[in-house]
Amino acid sequence: MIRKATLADKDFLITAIIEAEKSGSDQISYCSIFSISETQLREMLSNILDEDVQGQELCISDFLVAEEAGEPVAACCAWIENETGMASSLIKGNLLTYFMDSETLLNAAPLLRLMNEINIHREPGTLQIEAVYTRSDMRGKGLGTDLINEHIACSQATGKKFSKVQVQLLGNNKNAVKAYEKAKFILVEEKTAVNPDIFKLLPYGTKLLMERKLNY
Amino acid sequence: MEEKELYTELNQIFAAVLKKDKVELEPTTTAADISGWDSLTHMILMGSVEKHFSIKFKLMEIMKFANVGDMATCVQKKLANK
Repeated sequence: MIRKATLADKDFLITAIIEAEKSGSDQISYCSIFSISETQLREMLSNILDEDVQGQELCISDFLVAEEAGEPVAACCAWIENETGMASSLIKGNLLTYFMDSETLLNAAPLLRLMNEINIHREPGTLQIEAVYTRSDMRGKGLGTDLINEHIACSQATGKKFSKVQVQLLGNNKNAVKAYEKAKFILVEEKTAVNPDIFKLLPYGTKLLMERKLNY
Repeated sequence: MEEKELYTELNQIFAAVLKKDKVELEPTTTAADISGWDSLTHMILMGSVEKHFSIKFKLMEIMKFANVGDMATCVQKKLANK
């Protein structure tokens, strides 16, 4: 069963966000960039999710979850980029700014600049997909694709107009790439960092933008 | 703090973060008007403004900043209430 996420799913959603961030590795970019532990990150994400600010990837209301035997087993976040008039990256940046002390932020400044090397612009008006995660014992059943399709259907049902669905992921995540290709996504952009220090922050230095066009 | 003085200090903060010789902010200036002011730099800018003036923006304040003028007004109010 697929349903909208609720506050009761918060711990699972935090795991989904972190696991999606890891991209199949043990590295969590938030922790590397801001020099915080996974416990501190979980606490910060919990505070951010409590605010439920829509239009970006750290918002409970923008998540759907797949449930099995009363437990959430897969999750996926989606929103229409710039629908509120502000880019998702700025909304997320504001949330991180608020929940972090300025010292931690400023110490991370050189690393944030480095992250810009693989930053891919999110196109206003497109349906953006993030934090797609399936519990390890439930993989291979197509739950991620089901969640994406449900997001598309739900957004269309509320009268939202969009012709593209986009997802950004790191190039090392070959299984995810295959899964998106199977779900009719194609690779449209690739950005590789020049500075090798990027590997201190991320498990891979290339970011991909995959896109699925919708026919009406 | 006088508005002119506030903008002089904001210009200096923005120039330092954006690594530019000079920045001339106007109340109507937005991120789209200044090259290099992207989402990641935005976090550094907000953190730098908070640190410089020893203030902390509330979440609802920072989410409503539509331009530099909104931010400057907020900074002025916080400084006046210190």
